Amino acid sequence: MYFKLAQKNLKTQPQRTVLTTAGIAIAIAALTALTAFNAGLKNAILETVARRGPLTQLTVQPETAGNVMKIFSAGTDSGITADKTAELKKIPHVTAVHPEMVYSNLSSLRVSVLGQTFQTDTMIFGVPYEFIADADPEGKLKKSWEAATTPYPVIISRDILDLYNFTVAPTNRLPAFSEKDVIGQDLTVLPGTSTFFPVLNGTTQTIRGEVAGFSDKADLVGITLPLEVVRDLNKAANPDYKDRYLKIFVEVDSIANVESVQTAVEKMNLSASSAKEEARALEENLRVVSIGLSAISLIILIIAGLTIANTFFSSVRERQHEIGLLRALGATRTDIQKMFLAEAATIGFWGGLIGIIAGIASGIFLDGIVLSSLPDFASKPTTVMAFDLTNLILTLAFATALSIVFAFFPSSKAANLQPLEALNAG
Amino acid sequence: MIAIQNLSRTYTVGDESVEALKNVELKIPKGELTVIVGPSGSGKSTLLHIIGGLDRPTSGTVEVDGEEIHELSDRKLSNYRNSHVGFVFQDFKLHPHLTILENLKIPLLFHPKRVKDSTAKKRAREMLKIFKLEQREKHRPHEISGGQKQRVAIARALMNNPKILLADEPTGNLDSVTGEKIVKLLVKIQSVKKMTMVIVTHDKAIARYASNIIQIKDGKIVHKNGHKKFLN
Repeated sequence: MYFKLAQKNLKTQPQRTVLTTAGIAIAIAALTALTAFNAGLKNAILETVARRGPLTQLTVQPETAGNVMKIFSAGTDSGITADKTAELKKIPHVTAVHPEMVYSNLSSLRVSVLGQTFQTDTMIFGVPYEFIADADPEGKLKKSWEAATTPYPVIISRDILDLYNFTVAPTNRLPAFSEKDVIGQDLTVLPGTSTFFPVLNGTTQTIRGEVAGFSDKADLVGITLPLEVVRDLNKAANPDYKDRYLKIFVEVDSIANVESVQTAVEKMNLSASSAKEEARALEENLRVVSIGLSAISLIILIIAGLTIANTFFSSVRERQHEIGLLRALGATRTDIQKMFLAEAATIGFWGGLIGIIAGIASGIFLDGIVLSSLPDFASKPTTVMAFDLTNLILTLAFATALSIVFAFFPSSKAANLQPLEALNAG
Repeated sequence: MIAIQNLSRTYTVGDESVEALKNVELKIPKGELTVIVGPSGSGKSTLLHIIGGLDRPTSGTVEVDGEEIHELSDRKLSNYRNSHVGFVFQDFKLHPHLTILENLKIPLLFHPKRVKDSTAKKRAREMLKIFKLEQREKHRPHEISGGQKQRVAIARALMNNPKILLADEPTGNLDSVTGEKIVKLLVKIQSVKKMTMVIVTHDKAIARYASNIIQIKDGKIVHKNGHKKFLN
């Protein structure tokens, strides 16, 4: 009954109803778009983190990790031993371990592109196939990776391609390359040969490789080869070599158990970092942006709320005679208040619905502008807007509630009018 | 029976106090037509509003069919206005934005027992038929004549079958011919329904039909049952 009356009443003041609804719609559109942008940024960060490894993955390193020179020694004495790797496997909730081995000498890489031959220093990492499976969605690489026959398949970090395309190529007026352009490119790897420190060079040795794919998990400071190849290189450099790993990537059965596994790893005098931790740190940084966006939304909503209050105060003033008439015919104070609140809820609901639709439309439009203004890079997000159905429903409920809350005092004023006084007004 | 004892009503206008009613003592018999007459500003409308629960006395008591309405809570007084009394005003007081049918539905919509919309519509249509207004169902008040507006107002006052009908200058805004028709309609309703009807008026045509005439002046009752004196 109250909503039927509300609809009738709102139709009698079309201009005011449209303007108030528009006020709510604008505020809710801004809230929808800002919330989606905030969630979109969060998702983009999580996506970037997740690309390097799932949130259920821990990166285990010797406690000495972080010192560049120690990286080389990780191939010999300070790396994680095979025994410790086996121990890691036994930790409850650990489902798999993927070791990463490093060639313990300086190395370089020779490549011929655009009619020129370039040579640069590199590190050589070795991993099992499972770890770089993301670079091989069709499973074509598995056989050659496990067979480890020459030319060896080489996986490169996607970030290297981005670095080249956005820094090296533009400054040297070189063409940018896509992943497809580079896959299949022949490489010559020179283990033990450094262009920076030629004095350390031993016997000249070359191995042939071919770019097989790109991975977000591959180490940024070098190339990634099958584990067996790096193991053989280490053995060739040191006949007494025993397996030592630079890193072990530990897979945990669920996010909830990551922390307990991390504690267990640290008890083994190893350091462990999780993607979850990284994501949390990034989310912490994002909090400032979130607070800023929330503050803007709050200001817009308060303005919209005050507009509703002002509209309803005017409405009550103008409709005193009508209120008096309804009271004379038996409407109680509660009836009058409910009638006004139903009007507020109607405005809030439709304003909210229109606002959500406008918010989604403007969000999609802004998404297009933001994405088209960003260069194409490997970790470029597919969207910076994330619309969540639950959030949208809550926003609609919030818009309705906001209208009701801000119309409460005007409606109370209407309800408390004396019937005779109101009837004789106007 | 409406029993009023020692009733006073004082209004404050700015810094001044205006005594609209002064120690009124009155009994209005049940099932009869009572007319209240008096000059403008004598307090007759105030008396009617207090009987109808639209206003509260400053002091004194108002008892309607054994119930002291001056002591009722706001909710109970609203229910009293809705179900026990029907109002007819001089200026009709129809809701300008609602159709005639919707205007008739209002008392039923606010009935304490919450009547269904379909039931309210059915009852409103019945009333429109009785008052020969069925052709005006979808019209708005500004689209019908003064006489029709007052018929709608009377029909609306009867929607909840009240025991008392209170009319404040029901012919005041009508020409004499239409006014006469409205008077006859009210008299007919009273005689058929045997309801308590109190009419505030200057119109001697109405007074002629009344069982009781009450004369009021300066907030005081000057004559009770002064039928012949007033008509003469």
